[in-house]
Amino acid sequence: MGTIYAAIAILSLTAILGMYLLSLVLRSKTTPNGVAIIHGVLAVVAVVLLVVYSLGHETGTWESITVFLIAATGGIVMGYRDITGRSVPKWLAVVHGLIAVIGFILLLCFAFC
Amino acid sequence: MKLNSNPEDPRITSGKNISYWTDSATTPTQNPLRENLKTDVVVIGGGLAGLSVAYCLTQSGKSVVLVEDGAIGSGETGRTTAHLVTALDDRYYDFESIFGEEKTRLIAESHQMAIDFVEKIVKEEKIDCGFERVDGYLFIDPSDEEKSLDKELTACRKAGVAVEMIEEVPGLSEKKKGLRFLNQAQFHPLLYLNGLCKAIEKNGGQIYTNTHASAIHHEGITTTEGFTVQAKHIVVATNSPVNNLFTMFEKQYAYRTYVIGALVKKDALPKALWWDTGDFDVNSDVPPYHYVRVCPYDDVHDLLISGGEDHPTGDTSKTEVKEEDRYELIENWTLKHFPVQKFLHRWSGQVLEPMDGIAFIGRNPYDKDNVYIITGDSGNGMTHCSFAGLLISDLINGKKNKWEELYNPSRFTLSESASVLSQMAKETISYLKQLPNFNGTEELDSIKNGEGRIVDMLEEQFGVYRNEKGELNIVSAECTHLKCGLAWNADELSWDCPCHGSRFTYDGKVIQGPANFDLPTYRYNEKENTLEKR
Repeated sequence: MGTIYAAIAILSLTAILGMYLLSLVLRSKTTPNGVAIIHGVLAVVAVVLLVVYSLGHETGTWESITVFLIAATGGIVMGYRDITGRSVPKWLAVVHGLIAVIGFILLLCFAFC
Repeated sequence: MKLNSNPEDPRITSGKNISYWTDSATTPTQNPLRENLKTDVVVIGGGLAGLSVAYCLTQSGKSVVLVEDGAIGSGETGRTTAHLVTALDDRYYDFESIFGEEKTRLIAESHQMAIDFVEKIVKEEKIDCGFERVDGYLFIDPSDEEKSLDKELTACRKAGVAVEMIEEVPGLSEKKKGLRFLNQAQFHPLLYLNGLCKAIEKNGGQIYTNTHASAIHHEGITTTEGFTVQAKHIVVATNSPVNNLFTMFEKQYAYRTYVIGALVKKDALPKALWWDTGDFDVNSDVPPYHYVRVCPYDDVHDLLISGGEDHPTGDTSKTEVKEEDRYELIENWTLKHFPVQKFLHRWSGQVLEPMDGIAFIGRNPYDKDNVYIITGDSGNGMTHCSFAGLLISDLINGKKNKWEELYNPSRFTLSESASVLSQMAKETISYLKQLPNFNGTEELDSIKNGEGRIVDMLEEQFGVYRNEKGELNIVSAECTHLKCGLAWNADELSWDCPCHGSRFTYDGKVIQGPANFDLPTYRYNEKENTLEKR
């Protein structure tokens, strides 16, 4: 379970940065690229850890991985829109965050329930 | 030294300093597009590349509309030193190792063709632009090895370049061995452009200035004012292509270069071109070199034009010499080598250095086949841009051209891929530096008159410049191309992008691609401590 705990720790940090970014988007402020990149990289590392764990165990956490991948799609769309000068829809930022929270809850249930 | 006192003056769009060329040529009358048009070819960009393409196409009977967002030659053509050469910025022995002997011969041949082509146009169209054939001299920088001249001589001969070793380079204050390149040329670039404009219009082409193409696609363009030009072929000749968001900018890198103009006694120096081999101590991969020429000035003087001290745009960290301090270095170097009487002019320009040293001329990668780009001048913009006229014209007219593959913008030279990785690392670092500042807000009062800098304010970063009258100009600190953080250029009073070389005036107007849109600008409300978007 060490891998899962590491993923949870990384995802917690990702969530904190995500909340900061969301607060900026909701207030129509510019999101700092450095924070957005670190947020994205941490999320990728965490999902890779979850995949590694799931491939090595009979009962993997595929549900949360699937949900995180859906959230990641939203993140990629937002990142692309932002970097190419188009506005990031606030609803998309909120939905992205909510989906990620669902994935995180599923992961916590998997690890601790 | 003359400065551009009114930055909105359409004569000058890429900085505060005025080049000798702009100062000594009349700009054609402004003619903005005010209707919708249909044409065979629309060319975006009124510099040497765009006008050469337009000229060749109108000569072949195509209908052509050319749009330019400033005045003719207001981009980099007005800031060059106008060397027309087969002695290229990169060494032929390097080309040989990258491309092989056969392609290196083709490279040399294309530059020779370009010089001949310009000479032919000057004669046929009777353009009074001071075109003259001169010899060029390459001599060793102290940081380079003596044997590099021998290597270059051998490689040049294999490539078919007319060159010879000489024991003493004429014109230099001290005796130096060097290579003499025969039959190079020089001209006044803006007078040449004026002549090209007349020839294009005589052939039926239409030229529109102060016309910004805000949308460019495979069916034509839309201007900022909403007028359209529908075309069968689209040629983007904006120095750095403004229609290509991602693919080209990992393969070419923007550098600033600096130029001074100095008076010398009439005929004290031969009419010639000079180059040193570059300072390997500063950068062994792209050694910044000096380039010099002489042109007639008045009855008792010639003007010596000397340039160099290049650095990546928006980044002076390597030598820690700021943009505005680089002229002094050139002046010192020039005084050491030439009998200068008085310094008159200072200006800077931008060079796009392609990963393998030769330009990108042809179809825009990952686009429709009728969209073309010309970019990556590699410090040899005069010949690359003139040659582009011939190549793009052949592509549009469906003629076979043996240089198509060589200059293809889609090429990726695997042996030079380290520079791509280095560029990607540079971009990533630039993005990672864009972090929130939790130390609080900076006071705008701390910015002195004439000073510009990036300011953390209200949880965001802004570029703030206070002019000499004390008025604030506040812009977003992120480039409108791909959101890299901008750097202040105190020499040209511009915001420069260290990632891909886009540039903006101090009040946010885009003056250099790949960005194609102005920066958002803001007004500071002192009472409420807020910024309002203009």
